[in-house]
Amino acid sequence: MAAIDLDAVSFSYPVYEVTGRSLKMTVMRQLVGSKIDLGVGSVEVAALSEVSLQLRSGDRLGLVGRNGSGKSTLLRLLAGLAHPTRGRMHIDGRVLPLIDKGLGINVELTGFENIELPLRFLGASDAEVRAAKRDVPDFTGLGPFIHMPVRTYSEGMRARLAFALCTAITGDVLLLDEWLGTGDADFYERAQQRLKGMMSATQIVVLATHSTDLMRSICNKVAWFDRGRLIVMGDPDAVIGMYLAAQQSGFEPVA
Amino acid sequence: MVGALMDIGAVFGRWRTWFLMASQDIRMRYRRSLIGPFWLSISMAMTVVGMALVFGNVFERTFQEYLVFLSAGFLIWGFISLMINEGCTILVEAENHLRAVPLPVSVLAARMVQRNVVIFLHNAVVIAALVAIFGFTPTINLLFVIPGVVLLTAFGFFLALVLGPICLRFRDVTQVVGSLLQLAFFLTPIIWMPDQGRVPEAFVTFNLFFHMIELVRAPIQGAAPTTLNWLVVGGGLWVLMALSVVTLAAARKHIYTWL
Repeated sequence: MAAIDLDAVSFSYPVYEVTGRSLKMTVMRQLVGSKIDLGVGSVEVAALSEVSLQLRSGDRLGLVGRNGSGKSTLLRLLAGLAHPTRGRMHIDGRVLPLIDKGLGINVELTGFENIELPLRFLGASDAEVRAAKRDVPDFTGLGPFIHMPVRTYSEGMRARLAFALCTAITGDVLLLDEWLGTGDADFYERAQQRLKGMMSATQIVVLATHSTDLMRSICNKVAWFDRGRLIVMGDPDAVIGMYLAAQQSGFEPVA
Repeated sequence: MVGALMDIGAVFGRWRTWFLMASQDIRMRYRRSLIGPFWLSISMAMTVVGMALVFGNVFERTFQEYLVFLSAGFLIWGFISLMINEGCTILVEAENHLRAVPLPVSVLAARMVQRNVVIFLHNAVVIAALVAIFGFTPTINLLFVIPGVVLLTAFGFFLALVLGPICLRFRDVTQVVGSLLQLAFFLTPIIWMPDQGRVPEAFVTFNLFFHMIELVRAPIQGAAPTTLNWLVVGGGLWVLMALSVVTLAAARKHIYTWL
């Protein structure tokens, strides 16, 4: 049984000035006395504040909020990329993070040679890699191009390959950010089918998207974030309604 | 602390990941060249022959004796210094990946070490052929190179676990390390011979790099490494292991924000 428990999780991160990245400047600051220019090296950004939520098997959570509201940060914490500054986070189950494009596709290698490494990054087993090597060439419909270097691919072909790789294995917890593009139109149907199948095979899905229609069709819960705070979480129609109304009226929520 | 040890332990469970990354690195480095990996080795061989022709006379040794000394030294120094230099950039070079998936630092360190072991073996083949041409005959002591290389490999791995996070946080440390290595190259008996008595003995005895190089060079020259060589490098390795646990415990959770 997959489960996600967040208890008063906060995350803040330092943004370093150019000088903050330098050992010399850091040492100099210590020598000079940090009272003089405290905080010159970095600025703390509070990306999430005191977020608590529980998700259980069967939950499909959609995240709404303006840019910079903390949706992506939450996904990165759940993915284990970043770690909470304060609070407790516990996740049961295998997490599959599809939130960034840097999955390790090497454009100098052929499509086929690019199957294994991205999957290994996601923690695939030997059996899963073998299955993907059988399945990905067919699914992408790239034909003989699967044995050509990826740098010879069109944008659409690259998107197909990336999509096929990301959906080649399943986890208990699926984290999805906007980017999962599907390439050209004739591929769209197959991609939608595959995504649906993948979602139904996954116990918990957390999805950040600006498409409220997509969210209404998939999610059973929606969480509204604003400036790093969880404003409200609950029934999709209700929360999306509140969020859209607030956007239109320019109302500032108080958490 | 537990997290740091788990990170290091992941190097075993996820060996396929770093092995694959290292193989791709090697392929990228040598793609579209005919004799690929051997170009760099051949250029090293040229350097060594040229220097041996001149410096053999300067140090009053036979050409063959000095050639073996110098090429063994170059070979091992290349291995050690590349691992140290690239140990600084294991996290920086993987920035794209680290933004997408959580990867243990140990996997990235092992990728770098594996890549350099392969390059070292390429170089070793060319250097072996070179000294064979000039009449070099190995002794039974040559077998000591095996534990020596294993120890140096472990050294490179644990040093990368320390340097990787530090150089990610403080980007100028990479340059500092590069300059220090440059200095160390001249202070260490690689071009000059340690037994000539013209350089203060402290440069040799208290030089970690000398002991590291001797572990492999002495067997090539026909002698077993000394007990002191083993003790210094072995002791250094324990210190490094402790440091790597401390570094990872302190830095592990901040890596994403340092990218």
